[in-house]
Amino acid sequence: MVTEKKVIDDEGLNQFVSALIQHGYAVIAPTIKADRVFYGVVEKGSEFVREYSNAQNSPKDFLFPRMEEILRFTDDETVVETFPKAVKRVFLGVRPCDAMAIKHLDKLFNWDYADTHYNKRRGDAVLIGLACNTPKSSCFCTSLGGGLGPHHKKNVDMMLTKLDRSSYLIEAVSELGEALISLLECGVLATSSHDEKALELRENAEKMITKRLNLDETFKVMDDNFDSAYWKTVARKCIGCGICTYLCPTCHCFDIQDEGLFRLRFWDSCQFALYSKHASGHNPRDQPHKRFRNRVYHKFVYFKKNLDEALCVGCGRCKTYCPSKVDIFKIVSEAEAGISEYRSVEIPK
Amino acid sequence: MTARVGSRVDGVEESIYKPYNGRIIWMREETPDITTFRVALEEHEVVDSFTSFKPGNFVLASVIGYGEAPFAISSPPSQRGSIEISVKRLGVLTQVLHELCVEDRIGLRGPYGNDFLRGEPKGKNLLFVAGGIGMAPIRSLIHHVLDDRKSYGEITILYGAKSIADIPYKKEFKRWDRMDGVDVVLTVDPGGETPDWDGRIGYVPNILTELNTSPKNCLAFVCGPQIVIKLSAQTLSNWGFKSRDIISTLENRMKCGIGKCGRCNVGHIYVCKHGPVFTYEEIMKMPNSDY
Repeated sequence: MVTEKKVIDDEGLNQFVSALIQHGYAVIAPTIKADRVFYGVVEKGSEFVREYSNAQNSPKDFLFPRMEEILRFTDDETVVETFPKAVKRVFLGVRPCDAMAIKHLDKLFNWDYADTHYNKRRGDAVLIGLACNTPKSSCFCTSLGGGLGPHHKKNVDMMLTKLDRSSYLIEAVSELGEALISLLECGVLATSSHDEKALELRENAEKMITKRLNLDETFKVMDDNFDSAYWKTVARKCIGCGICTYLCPTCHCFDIQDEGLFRLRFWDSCQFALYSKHASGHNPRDQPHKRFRNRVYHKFVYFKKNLDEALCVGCGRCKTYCPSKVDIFKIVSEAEAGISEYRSVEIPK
Repeated sequence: MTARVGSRVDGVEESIYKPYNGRIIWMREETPDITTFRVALEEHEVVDSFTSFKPGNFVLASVIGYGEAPFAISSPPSQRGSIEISVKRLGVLTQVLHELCVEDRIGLRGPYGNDFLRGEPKGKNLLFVAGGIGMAPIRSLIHHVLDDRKSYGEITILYGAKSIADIPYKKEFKRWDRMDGVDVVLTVDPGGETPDWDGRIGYVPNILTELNTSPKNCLAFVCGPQIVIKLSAQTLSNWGFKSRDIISTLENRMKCGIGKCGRCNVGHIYVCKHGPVFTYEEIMKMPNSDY
């Protein structure tokens, strides 16, 4: 089957957004809020900013919200199940790294037990990707497996590639995407010269990502050296604020608490001291470096062992927004050298 | 990878976080800070699927407005239609649980986790070593074993608490001790005894060294504070117990109970999903105490 590809301009993209909204979709795209780029619901196409490396938050916020009601109780002690409203969502302008992150979350929330709340939100949400033409210096998506790269389109339903100042190549990737591309009334059919241009942009973008990580070796080195004093040293800069876990597109730890007659689930962070403290008072991760190490290991070792993927997608948010600029890429890419330097050092208890 | 929708009746879409309605039908104050609740389920259609648990499984018990927490099931599967949990008063929820009465409601979610029967205890001699509230899951297994006494060999039960007042299940220990081929050794920490105490005085791992149980065809189940598990397992290993014949349960902090919320992991192992029952062989492969 030949996938239909079209070329549209900015105005065409705006019309497409309007068509989606008319067809009952909530369109979630990067918009400007307080001078920063955040994913948010847009009412018209022009609110979708197209010049951004990536939004500060990720689509995770809409699939696994910061706080959600999972149960409600009545005064006579009846338990009422509450589910998220069925909303048809389109995520527009999703970078390939964030699309990969959603795939990882899909796996986690359906690992053995299907999480009804996540799945209700995820449902038929449509992902429309926007290829990355100018990755940032903090990006390292190409090292994280699964073919991930700045133009990777396997995890989206439709893909947009910005060809020049105001034209976009738009193509359907999945069946869902095929059905939606029919809403596009404008635009011209793409020719091979458009494809060539897209390929050139892709190659350029891939070249711009200079950070390299050998995922398999990193896994092995880390798996063998959990007790290295290296981890204590590299964690020293971390102040345990948890911003990395909040902005990470794949971090998914949560807490469940009752507030009056509501049972709520909300984000939690493994960087917080009370996160794993037992009722007995014993806290297995009682020191900052243990909590820091847990996050790094979850990304590069634990998730790989359990669900066969690296849980990092190389978006660079954790470094960009870290108040003390803790650089996860630097830490894991230098792990082998760092660990051998600390080989003879005992980790202080 | 088959995804289960909730843990309830097949085909009905239900939230995996929805608890069953339980009602307290009996309760017993075991010690000043441990109370056992027998909870019956009100939704008849789920009673069988819920109570077909195995010793070692755990549930998440909740009180409306105060949240939920994981507890080991302390009753045996043969007790149809209801389960028991023994709750030590330690925090907000456990305090509220202790204030409940018969007829009050407890929400139950589960049963979750793996079980003690993975050690295949049938036909073997069994040594149970427990300290403090660690007796709760072990009690489920002991009752289960004694329900079918002839299928098992010699049984030794070593239990220790801080003081005499802190020993739960006192009548049950006495009853078990009177049974043929069952040896019960109770101990209290030094200072926890009274002049008329006829049990032992000393910490569980120390008393264990005096038992000198033969590892031949024997399985050891150890549950209690981390230090009790660690020291007891070392003693047992010295006696020649294979590390896969020493079985313990890890009870980390949990919220979801189903491998999603993240906090109970030891390395890549999720205690709620891969455990909570692990052999000492598995525990030794885990990252050291500071994980």
